[in-house]
Amino acid sequence: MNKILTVLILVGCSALSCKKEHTEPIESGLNQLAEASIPDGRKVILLADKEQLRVGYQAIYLRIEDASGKTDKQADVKVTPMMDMHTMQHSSPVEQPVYVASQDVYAGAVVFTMSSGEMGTWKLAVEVDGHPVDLDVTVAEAAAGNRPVSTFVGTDGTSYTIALVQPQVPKTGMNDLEVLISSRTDMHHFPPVNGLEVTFEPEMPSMGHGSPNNIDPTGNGNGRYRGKANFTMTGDWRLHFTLKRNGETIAEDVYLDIVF
Amino acid sequence: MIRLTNFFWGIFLFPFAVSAQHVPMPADSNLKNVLLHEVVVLRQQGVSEADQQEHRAGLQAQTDNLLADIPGVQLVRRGNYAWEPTIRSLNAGQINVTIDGMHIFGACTDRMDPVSSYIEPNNLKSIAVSLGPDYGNHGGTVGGGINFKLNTPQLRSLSRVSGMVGTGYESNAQGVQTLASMAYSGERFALNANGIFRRAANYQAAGGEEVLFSQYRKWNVALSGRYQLDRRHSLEASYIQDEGRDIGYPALSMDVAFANAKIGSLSHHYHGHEGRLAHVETKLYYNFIDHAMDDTKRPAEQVPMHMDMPGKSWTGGFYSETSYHLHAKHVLNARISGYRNRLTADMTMYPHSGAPMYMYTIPDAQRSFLGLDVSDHICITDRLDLAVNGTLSYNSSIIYSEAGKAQLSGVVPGNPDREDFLWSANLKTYYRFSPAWQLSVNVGKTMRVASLQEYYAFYIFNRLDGFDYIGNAQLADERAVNTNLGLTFQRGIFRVEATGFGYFFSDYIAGRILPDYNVMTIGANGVKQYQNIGKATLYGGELAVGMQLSEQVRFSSVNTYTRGQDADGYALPLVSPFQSINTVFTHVRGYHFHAEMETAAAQRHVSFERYGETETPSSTVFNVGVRKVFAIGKMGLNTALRVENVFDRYYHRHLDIMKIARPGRNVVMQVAVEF
Repeated sequence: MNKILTVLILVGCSALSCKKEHTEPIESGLNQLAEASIPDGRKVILLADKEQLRVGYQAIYLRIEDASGKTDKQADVKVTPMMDMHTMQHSSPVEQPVYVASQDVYAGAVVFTMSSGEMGTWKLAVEVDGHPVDLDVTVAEAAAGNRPVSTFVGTDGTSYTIALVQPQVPKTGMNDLEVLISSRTDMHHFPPVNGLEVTFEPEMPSMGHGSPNNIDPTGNGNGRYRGKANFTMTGDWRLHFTLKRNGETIAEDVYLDIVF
Repeated sequence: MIRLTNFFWGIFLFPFAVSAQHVPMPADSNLKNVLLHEVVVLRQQGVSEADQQEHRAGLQAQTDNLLADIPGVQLVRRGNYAWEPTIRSLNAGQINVTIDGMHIFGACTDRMDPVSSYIEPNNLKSIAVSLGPDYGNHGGTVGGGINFKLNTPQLRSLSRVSGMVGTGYESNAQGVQTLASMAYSGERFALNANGIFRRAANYQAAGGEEVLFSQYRKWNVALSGRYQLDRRHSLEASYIQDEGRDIGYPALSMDVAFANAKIGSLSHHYHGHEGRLAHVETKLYYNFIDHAMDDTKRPAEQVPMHMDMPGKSWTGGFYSETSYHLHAKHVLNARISGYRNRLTADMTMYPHSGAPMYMYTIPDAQRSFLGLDVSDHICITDRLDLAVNGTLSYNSSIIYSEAGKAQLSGVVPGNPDREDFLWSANLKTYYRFSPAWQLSVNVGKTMRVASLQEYYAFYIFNRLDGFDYIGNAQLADERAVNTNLGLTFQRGIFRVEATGFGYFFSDYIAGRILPDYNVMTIGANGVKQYQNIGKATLYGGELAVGMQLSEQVRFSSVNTYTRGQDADGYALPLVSPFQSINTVFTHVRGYHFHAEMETAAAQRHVSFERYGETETPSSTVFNVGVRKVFAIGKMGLNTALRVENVFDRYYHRHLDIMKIARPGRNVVMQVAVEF
């Protein structure tokens, strides 16, 4: 009996201690990933709706707090993702954070085009009211079988990036499909591209079939294109995109992979 | 045991000659066992009724074979097990197949598990077939119904305890069946228990050609009890469990790992005796079907991708029916019934590389039904009877899970849920011109809701035409005007029964090609969706002739013909050609012989273009058999020997999917001890 009690107590303690060690989300569903201070004493906290950042379109959230823990709702916040590949540095597409009162954070997004590793390291260069601060981040590979972002050179010679914004959690049936298309003007500027005609065909590579009733994405401003993707079953799906401008094909068979 | 074996071989060696000796011995005079019941066919089909009785006398006749002998019933064959009954070529959602009035819906998307597969010779009392709209259909439908009546425990039988133990062997597939029944019959309490185990290896078509993946194994146990509360009231409980394993379907690309059914009911009976309220029966029931297909036994080159395809179906329901005698010549029957069926089936595919793929094939569908059946039968004169039957029903069809709705939304746009109010009505008239001639006229209007498969199928592959089928929640109800004309003549040694029928459909439901859709099934020809294709007609007739040539010799000929076409003139699928079964029955010194010739004409009226069917050549096979019951003290030894397809003819019939050859010569030996 004593033995059983001991075991129970031990199990209980370990369960409690586990709970303590666990990174507790600050807001519902948001996890703290990095934190740094700017010279005026304010803290810049990086949050994400995932445990870790991965390759692809990633929502990011910044919270600015003063020393007393009071949040700053009116800061001028700018984010520049930077990939340091030892011999060279490049940025990637970004949607600048804007203040969202309901969550009391600045919400934006970054398209990570590669993972952190031996090839290089990612950081987010943040400017708060003109004060620069770097937040080191680790970007993991996309989950096996997924290809949420693709970079390609169009027939017009421009380098483009297409990233899957939605669905983040694909389900069987009709899904909202949204992609962000950006171009690269130089290694540090990736402006959104509007005015493209985007068509796509889903395919299951292991079976060779597609699905009916998909709706091609149409431009929504800010490089975003929205349509519908019909996944008739779980498994590996490849979305083949064709991009045109004024009827001229810019790129064919650019693909993103989704597995669920 | 030695004596038993001697009897057996005695039968086996007995020549098949038809003897003309006159030994007066009424048929079945020594069969007094309670377990033998006649098959009642609910129309004046005296000829085939007599044939059925003879076929069942050996106590071991399989349900599929019994069904095949009923005029108007044809079976769709996908292997050597669980054939799917059709009525005048109408099938699936067009007919109601029930067990003791209980609705049961198969869980298999490939229709591998018809309700008839849960009925075995020792739990069956009788088969009631109605070929058109009828009170016996338990809820309206366009094409008639089959109701299997189960053996019920009998109170106050001659013997308190009775039973039988039997076994049978089939040479062709090394098929073995072993069955046993026990019945206890008390003053207020009675109990029936029976069980059967059947197994068969692959069968051989003519010439010893092995038909791979035609094996099966199953057991079935049925229990029922009856308790009499008082002179008028009694309670009954019934339970059937049926488990099939490793069942091959040579006509399909997958077999069955298991097919399980649990079927239970509780009922209350009121017996009014001489009162006007003659009978009230109220029943609550529940059944659960669990089914899983299996491709792991197939050779690798036949399986482009391994997949699991399980399905589940449960149905809970009730009915309460009554028979009220307004006066001696006017009977009113009414029944209120309801059920809810939940049907779900899914598929997980395992590609050689990549993630497994999962989808529903029936995305969590549910049907709820509430119906009222009424029948009013009145004898207007000694010669003229009138019967009016009607059904009113409410049907709701929904997708009950969010995941199911989400998946279906990609293919079937809009709200998949729907409600349908239906009615059916028909008028039957019987007129006796003379003692010899009787005429019956039956005119009715019927409707049916589409089946859950027709509403919600998600790329279900149909082997018949090689298309993936998707459902259509916008389907209109299929309607039909049904006409039936029957003429019966009986005089002296002759009995002739002739029927002619016509079904005039509107909003007939069939698959239409969706040209822009990709197939899902590897190798499929395309995608079809269930649609209302407008009008269709089905007509034909049955002719049965019985001749009692002498006290010992009876000849029976049962002939059926059906022809159907849709509004565009295409031949409807799964329509049996002209068929003729001619049998001579004779008995001498208790030995009962039969020699049977089954002929099916060629079916050339087919549409490959629309329904994927190809022609079927004609075929004739011969079957012979002998049986005898030997008395051993108080016990009876019921022995039977049959040779099916005597001349080892290589053949298939039009309703055999993929034209898989039927068994070649097959010697069936059966022996049962009754006590």
